Amino acid sequence: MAELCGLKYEDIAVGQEIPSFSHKFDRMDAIIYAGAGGDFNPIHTNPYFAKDVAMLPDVIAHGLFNMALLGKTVVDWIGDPGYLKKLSCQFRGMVIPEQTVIFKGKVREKLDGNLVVLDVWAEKEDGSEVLKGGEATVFLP
Amino acid sequence: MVDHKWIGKAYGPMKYEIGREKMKEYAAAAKDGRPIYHDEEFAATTAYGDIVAMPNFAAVYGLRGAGMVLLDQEVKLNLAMLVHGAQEFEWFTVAKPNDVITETGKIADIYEKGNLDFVVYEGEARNQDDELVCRSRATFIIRGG
Repeated sequence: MAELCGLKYEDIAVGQEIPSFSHKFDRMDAIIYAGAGGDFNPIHTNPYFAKDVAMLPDVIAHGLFNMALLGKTVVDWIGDPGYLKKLSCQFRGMVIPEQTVIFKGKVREKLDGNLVVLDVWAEKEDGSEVLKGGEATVFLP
Repeated sequence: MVDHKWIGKAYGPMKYEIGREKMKEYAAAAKDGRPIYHDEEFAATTAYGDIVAMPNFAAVYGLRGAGMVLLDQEVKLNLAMLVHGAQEFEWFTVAKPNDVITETGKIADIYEKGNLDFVVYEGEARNQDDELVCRSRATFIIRGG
C-alpha cells in the first residue's frame, strides 16, 4: 500500500512555512485551463478582446487557475489530496503573461482531530498580491 | 444595486458525470502531474484503488450553479462589471472516475459595501451514494452598485 502522506500531525509546528511553488504564467496556460475548466471568457484567452474591449493590459490568468495552483502547493506538502479539507482565498491582483506568481503557506493553528490550519496566499515577484486572505485546512495522520 | 429578494433563490439539481480523462485534463491544466491523479496502476496500490480528482476539480463538477446565477435573466447581474472576488471549497470525500455528482445551490447572500455589490452563491455536491463530496461558496463583486 503506497503511503501518500508523509507528514505527521505531531511533527507540525505553528509558524512553520510550507515549500513555496513558483510559476511563470504563459498565455497557453489560460487557453488550456479554459478548456479544462470550462471558462471561455475571452479576457483569459483573446488578447484583442482583453485589451480593446475589456481595457486590460493583456489576457489575465483565471482566478480558479491560480487557486488550483494554490491547492497544488498545499497538496504537494501533505502528499495526499484526500487530506485537503478546505481551501479558500480572495482573488486580488491580475496576472498577465510572463509574470511569475509565488504560492505560499504558513501553519497558523493546530486543531483537535488532527487538523492543521494554514494561511495561504500568492504574490508576484515584486510582492504584489494575487491571492489574499487564503486559508487551508488539512488533516494529518 | 442587486435586489435582496433573490437571497435564497435555488438552482439545480444539476447532474455531472465525472469523466476519467477530464479529471486528468484538469490536473494537467493546473500543472499537477501527481501519479494519484493520472496513473491507474499506481492508484491501484493506494487506499483509493483508482485515480482521484484533484481537489480543485470541484471548480468543474461543483460550481455550475454559480454559472447559472451569472446568466440568470431574472437576477440580471451586470456581467461587464462583475469579478469573481473570492472562492471557498470544503471537501468531505474524494471524487473518482464515473462518479455522478448532483449539485444543488442557492444565492446565500446579497449585500453592499460602498459602491460594490456582493452576491454569494453556495452549492453542495453529492455523489451517487448521496455522500457529500464538496461544498462551495463563490463571492461575486459587481462594481458601480
